[in-house]
Amino acid sequence: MPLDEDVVAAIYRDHGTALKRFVVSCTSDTHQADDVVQETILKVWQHAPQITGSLRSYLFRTARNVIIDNYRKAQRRPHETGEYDLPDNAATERVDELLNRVLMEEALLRLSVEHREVLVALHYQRFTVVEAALQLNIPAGTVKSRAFYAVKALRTILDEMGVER
Amino acid sequence: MNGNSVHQLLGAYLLGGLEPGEARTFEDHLGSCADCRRELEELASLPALLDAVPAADAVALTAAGAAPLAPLAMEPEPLPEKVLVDLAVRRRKSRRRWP
Repeated sequence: MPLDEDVVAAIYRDHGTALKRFVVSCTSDTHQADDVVQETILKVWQHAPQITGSLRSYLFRTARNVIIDNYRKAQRRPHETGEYDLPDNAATERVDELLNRVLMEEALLRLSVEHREVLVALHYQRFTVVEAALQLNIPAGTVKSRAFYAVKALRTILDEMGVER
Repeated sequence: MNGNSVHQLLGAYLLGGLEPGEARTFEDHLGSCADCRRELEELASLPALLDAVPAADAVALTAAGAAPLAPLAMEPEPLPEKVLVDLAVRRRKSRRRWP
């Protein structure tokens, strides 16, 4: 059985940077972000035996909860101003938006390059199959079959990450 | 078009990439194919989920060099000293709870 220090160090090594990027995008305060990252990783370490599926998405979700708890705590303090002046709901919504975004980016990066290219061309660039075929220099039939397998692969990845339908 | 490829139109249909004629062909097929109807229902939330990522960012993910799980390739975050202290405290606490 690995030592706790090693487990925590491994979580930092594998996920620390991605996690910090997400937290900084939510809080825009680097110093506070370090504390949130630390709290998140220690919380996840405590619950590690029960985690199934993607550790990365579990970390993002836990960080989201830590950030929102911090907002609420700050709001309960009557004389504190400035740092957390967003109303509770707006702040929560913004963090959830960023969470969804980071989870979806993660999911897109897990697709194969071929699947990701077709999905981006059709969904984000609004290309038709024929336009995507020209852009990617592959036959239109290949665009169609890759689009088919890409959406199925993406659903599987999202299920693994625990992203609801 | 063989029997297999009409099912496979589902992906391009869901992502809005079919020309109107082909979209109608697939919709006609849906009328008679329960498997495709079920599958389309299972995947129906994907376009809205994808919209959480701004288009420009999604396009950037396909750029050359955007390897799978690119964030992992970045400089790893060092383990702060403070974490180990905190870790020891939490471990003692959890031992107390579970003697």
